[in-house]
Amino acid sequence: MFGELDTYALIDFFPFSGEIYLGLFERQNSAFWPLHLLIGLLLLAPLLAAFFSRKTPRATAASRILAVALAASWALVAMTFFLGVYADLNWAAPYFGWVFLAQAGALGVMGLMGKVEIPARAERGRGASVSTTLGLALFLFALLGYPLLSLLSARGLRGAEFIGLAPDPTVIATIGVIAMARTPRLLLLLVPAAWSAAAGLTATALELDMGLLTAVLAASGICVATFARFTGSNVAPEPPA
Amino acid sequence: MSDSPSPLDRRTFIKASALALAATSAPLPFTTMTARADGPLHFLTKPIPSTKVPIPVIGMGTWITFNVGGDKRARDMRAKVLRAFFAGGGRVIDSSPMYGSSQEVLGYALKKVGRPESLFAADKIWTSDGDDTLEQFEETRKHWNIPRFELMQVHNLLAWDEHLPKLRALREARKLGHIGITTSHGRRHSDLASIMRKHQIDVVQLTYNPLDREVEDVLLPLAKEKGVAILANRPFQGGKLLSKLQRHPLPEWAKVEADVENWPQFVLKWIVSHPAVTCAIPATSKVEHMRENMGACHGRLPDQKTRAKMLAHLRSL
Repeated sequence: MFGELDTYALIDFFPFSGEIYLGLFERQNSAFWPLHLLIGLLLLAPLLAAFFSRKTPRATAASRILAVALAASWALVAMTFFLGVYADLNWAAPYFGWVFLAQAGALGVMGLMGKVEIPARAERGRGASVSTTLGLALFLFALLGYPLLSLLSARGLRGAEFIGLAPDPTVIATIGVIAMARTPRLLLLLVPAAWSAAAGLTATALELDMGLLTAVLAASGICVATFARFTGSNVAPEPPA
Repeated sequence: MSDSPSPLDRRTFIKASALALAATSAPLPFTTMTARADGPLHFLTKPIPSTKVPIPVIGMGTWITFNVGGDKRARDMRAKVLRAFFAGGGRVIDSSPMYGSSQEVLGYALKKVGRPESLFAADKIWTSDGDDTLEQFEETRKHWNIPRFELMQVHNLLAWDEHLPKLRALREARKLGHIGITTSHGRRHSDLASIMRKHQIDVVQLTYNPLDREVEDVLLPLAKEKGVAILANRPFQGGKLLSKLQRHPLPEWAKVEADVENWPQFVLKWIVSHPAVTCAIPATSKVEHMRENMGACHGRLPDQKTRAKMLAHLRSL
């Protein structure tokens, strides 16, 4: 099938209308409500615990819980969206589903190994880095702002995209968390980057109301995370001996 | 690869004969190109050259419009669209395994509306594995819930050399009426021409509309020469063409010279009045648009002089 990939146009990957695509979130929301609240709580609590921890061991423990909760969110998106409602519409959806499951596995394993660790306040020093600040902002926006934006469009909260069920807010939140990590793991940003590009193409092809929001937010998060990775700016420098 | 002539199986023959008989005795002749200007509004059909089976000049595509998944409200709306299609005399419905849930939604709508005996079911084989031809054919048939297809096409020329012999075998087994091959968006035209020259194909589906006219150079004349029916997809360029046209008033002469009532009919009648084009297959998710489309099956088709005038008018907008 893919041997003939060069003969396909972008539109071939979207054999459905924007209205029907957005309707998937409405169906998902009515099927899984109030799971949204539980997912939000399971993600927000460890994030805040890690971010406001004064001591490193507490931040480490909270970060591990956060990484596992994020991994579970990716797995939920894979199962309920890509391998669920979206698979009815798009033959390419299951491929994304398997990729999201792989990302869930990677996040879970690396999280438990302490590779997605948000530094405690003492480690961050006085002022938070750009990467930490933007990372936190991205996470909070994905959790609360992204679904609330739907109130501005015709779909309302019924058709809103929620973290842990819809791919876009889940990806933005994940990029935010990785950008806040002591050492942002760029390998964990590959799949979020790929989906953000796909989300941009989807929004363009289907003329969706959110437009390129996901792609722009993801690109900014990935840029600051990369900067923090190579400068080590998410932790304060050791005081001279 | 053997290329036996297209067999006119018994079912196809009976259908064609019945329609031909009806056409000779009914006041509405199915022949279109000689329709009288002062007569009743004729229902326009054209025959598939290889079997002489007549089909209405307007069919229905399902790309995007019928891919609504499990959305019950949207499914029921598509059933209403299908009802309007049949009410307007429509028979030719085209789908593909590539169109997500379209086939299954079509099956749902057919069950809800009732499947007319005259249905001309057209679908596609879309797999790169030549061993999967029969399996996909059967899967598609189950989605539609019909005993056989009138037309099965190789989608976008994908593994066509492997699929064609199997489709021929299905046709010989009378599980299939016609064999076709498709392309869209102007892709792989030279390959398609080569296949049309070397192999016996009943139907070719391609993109043709007043803005996409590349096929007029080689493929349409070749189809005429080889006796291949043409199904025209994307007649409205995915709706873009109509969006542009709706801003302008319909010229009065279009109604006088070609019984055109609105822009969709203007475009559709221009397309199907090409001597090589058998049927156009617009897709829609709205009942009122379906009624407008099916209106193009009535009245006169423009003659070649009017056709040229229509194109000149479109160019001037």
